[in-house]
Amino acid sequence: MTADARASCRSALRFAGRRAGTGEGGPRRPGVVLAAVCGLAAACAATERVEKRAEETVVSGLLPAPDPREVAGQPLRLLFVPFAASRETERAAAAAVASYVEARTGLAVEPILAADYREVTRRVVDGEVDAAFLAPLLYVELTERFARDPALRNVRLRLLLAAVAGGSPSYVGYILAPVDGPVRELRDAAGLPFGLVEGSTSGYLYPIDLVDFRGLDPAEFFREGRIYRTHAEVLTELLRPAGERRVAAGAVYHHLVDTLAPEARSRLRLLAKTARIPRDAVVARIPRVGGREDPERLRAAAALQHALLAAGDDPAMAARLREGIGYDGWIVGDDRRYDAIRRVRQRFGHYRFGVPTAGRGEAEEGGFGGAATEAPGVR
Amino acid sequence: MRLSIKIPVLIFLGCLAAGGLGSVFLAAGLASEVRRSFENRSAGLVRSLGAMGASLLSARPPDHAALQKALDNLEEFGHGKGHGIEWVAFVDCAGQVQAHTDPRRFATRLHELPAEWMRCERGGPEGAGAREDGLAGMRYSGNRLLVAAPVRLETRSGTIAASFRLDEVGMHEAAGRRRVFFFTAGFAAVLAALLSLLLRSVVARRLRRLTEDTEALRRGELDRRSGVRGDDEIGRLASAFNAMADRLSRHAQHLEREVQIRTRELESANRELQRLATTDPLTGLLNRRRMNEVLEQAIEHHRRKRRPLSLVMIDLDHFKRFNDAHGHLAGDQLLRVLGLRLRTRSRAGDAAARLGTEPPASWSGSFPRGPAGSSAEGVVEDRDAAAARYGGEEFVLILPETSKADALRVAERVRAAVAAAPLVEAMGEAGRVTLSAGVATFPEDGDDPDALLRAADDALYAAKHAGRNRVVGAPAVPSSSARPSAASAGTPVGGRT
Repeated sequence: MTADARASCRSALRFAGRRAGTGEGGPRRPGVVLAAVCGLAAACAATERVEKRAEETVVSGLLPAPDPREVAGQPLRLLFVPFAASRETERAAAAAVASYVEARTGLAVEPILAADYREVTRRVVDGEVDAAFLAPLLYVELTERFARDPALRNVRLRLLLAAVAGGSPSYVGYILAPVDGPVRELRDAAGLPFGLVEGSTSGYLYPIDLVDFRGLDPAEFFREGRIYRTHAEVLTELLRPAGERRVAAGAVYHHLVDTLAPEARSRLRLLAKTARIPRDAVVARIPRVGGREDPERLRAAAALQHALLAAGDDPAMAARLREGIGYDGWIVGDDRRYDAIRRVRQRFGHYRFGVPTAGRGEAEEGGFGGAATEAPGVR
Repeated sequence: MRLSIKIPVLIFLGCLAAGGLGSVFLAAGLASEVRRSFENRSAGLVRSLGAMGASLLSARPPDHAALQKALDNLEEFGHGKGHGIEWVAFVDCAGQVQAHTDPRRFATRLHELPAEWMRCERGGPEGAGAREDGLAGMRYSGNRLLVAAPVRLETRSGTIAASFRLDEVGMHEAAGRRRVFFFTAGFAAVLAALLSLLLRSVVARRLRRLTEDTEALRRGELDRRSGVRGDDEIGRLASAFNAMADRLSRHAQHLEREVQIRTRELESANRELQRLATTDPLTGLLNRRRMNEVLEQAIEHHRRKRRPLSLVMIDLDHFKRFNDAHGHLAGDQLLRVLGLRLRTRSRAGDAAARLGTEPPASWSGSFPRGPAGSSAEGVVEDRDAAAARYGGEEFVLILPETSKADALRVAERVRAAVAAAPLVEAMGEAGRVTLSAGVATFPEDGDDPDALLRAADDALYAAKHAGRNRVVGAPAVPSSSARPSAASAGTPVGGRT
């Protein structure tokens, strides 16, 4: 699907071709080699088809600003993923965003709060919403779904925006260890109890990539991994007194750590950082009529895009966003930025480490790209 | 291939080759300049980033997050790519990464950084121990440029290092090479065009004109001269061509004059031959063969015109006696004078004259001639008459458009003139002779030359028989009458025996 996958397919085909031509590496078995080449070629062709479909069904970029009179009164169902510790907080933030968009565009915005990632996926796939705020991993999964699912052939998932928080359109996960613990550097944590966050990009998937990047074996490293529901649970575990602590190190969304009180921060040692992870995406679901995007829905999506872009420049709204969601604002989305997640997911998405912890702590602080959105997500 | 094409092509290729060679040197200089510029820019970036990082990490507390965010944004927003930045790292005194554009490199050792570039001076001034340009070092590694500068991190010295991809430089170099190439090619093309235009007027056009002049000369236009001028080789060639053409022309004119002279001489010789072939050498009159031709043509002509033609046959009386008495030379003289007298009866335009028998200006005399158009007096205009020596002392006058009566009068005048005075004055009375004449007319006395001659001869015979010194006309019919009968039937005209 990705460029890497395509390159891998071509390399494999070339390799198979060389083997078939030279008989290198053992006795010749032309029939077997030919069958293997054909099978590989068919698989690669299928991948190419999927990728082409993905290009057709997932697009990004800045849409032209519509005439406000054309979108005035048009309904827009706007879905929010779970992002805050309480429904009240989420409801208030969603209402603030919806009000701002309504006031700026004239659209009749209906905010919808999803209970979890499954609901988000279902509503987007079934067409129960027109636009949605998505966590990055969820966005990647949905793009793959839209590319593959024949039932979604006549729908285009248009990436409108990418979130910016703390002045950056990406975030990282921290690998932390208590300063009074036995771990002084990353390799010291290998094989020790390690706190991971269930279904999290920065708390689970990217730490695996980091360990692999550092030349360590993820399977060995996370042998004693422990799965927590949220990033806050991992952080809390790390900050426990030495005798009560059940992990030697853990992976936590960086924002939680950067905003800790200095005293608490001083009790933690930063061992490593994951690669950068693109932040949340705002997408529009636009049906296609006669092969072309429904112009009415496209205008509504454009209005939403331009309104949210303006929100970051509006000091009052920006303050409300930082307070309610943890964002500074948005930038125009570029689907290629999410290829990094696709690569990591392709390599390590199938890894299963650790055992679930019994307790469930409270959700972490806000941000669609933060702990709470990742914790309840589906794998 | 024509010279006008070959020269510009060779010039263009030459210009292109020269331009290509020049572009190699230019491109090499350009590449060096691009690299130097890239190095300066990279060093400046490293120094700027180092100052920024130092300010963030020297704060209380050090703002690692802000530094990381700055590096993140360098990557995320593509600012670094525009400058060819592959990665940027802040390394502490121990060589451990404090911040890196790839967060995964945090807290690792930056193995790309040579140990001698790292600074570890507690509280030392920023940039201490650095080179003059403020850098800790700069070197190329593969297709990357590694630049490092000392920077104060928190309380100790550290190092900022950055790797720059040379792709951008390569692209600059390639773009520069392309520009140089296109400029060179364009310059070569323009230069070639100008040179070809110049050569076209200076060389090719002049050569073409000279070639055309040569072709014209070859075709025979000997008066053709080249208008090409100049003191160069082509000009000298044109001058040589003109000189050669002059000589050729003069030679041709000389040849032409020679040919004209020779032609005139040949024509003169031909005329003389013709005259000799058709005239009697003694008298200058038509000889008998030519007389036969003239008579035959005249009869045919008069037959078509249905006009009369008369023939007078003349014979000197007692010529044998004169010869015996005065010698053959005197006889010849007599014949010559008579011939001259008879020739004066024919003028330019008559048969005799046409055959080159013009009378010389020294002729001493002529027979009396009737005035032109004197038909009222019965004397015909005999200017078209032809005189011939028939043989021995016999002569023939052919009188066109002349009836028998008129012919008899002409013959009588001739006879009378001869009889009136000595024919050769130098001989005195000894030179006095007489003649007899027979006249026959076409068609009444004969409708062909032989018949007409026979009739005239018969009439002459009759004149002789009748006593000489007289003129006798032939009887009209029959033309085939016997000589004696013809003579008896003849009609004497005047004279005495």
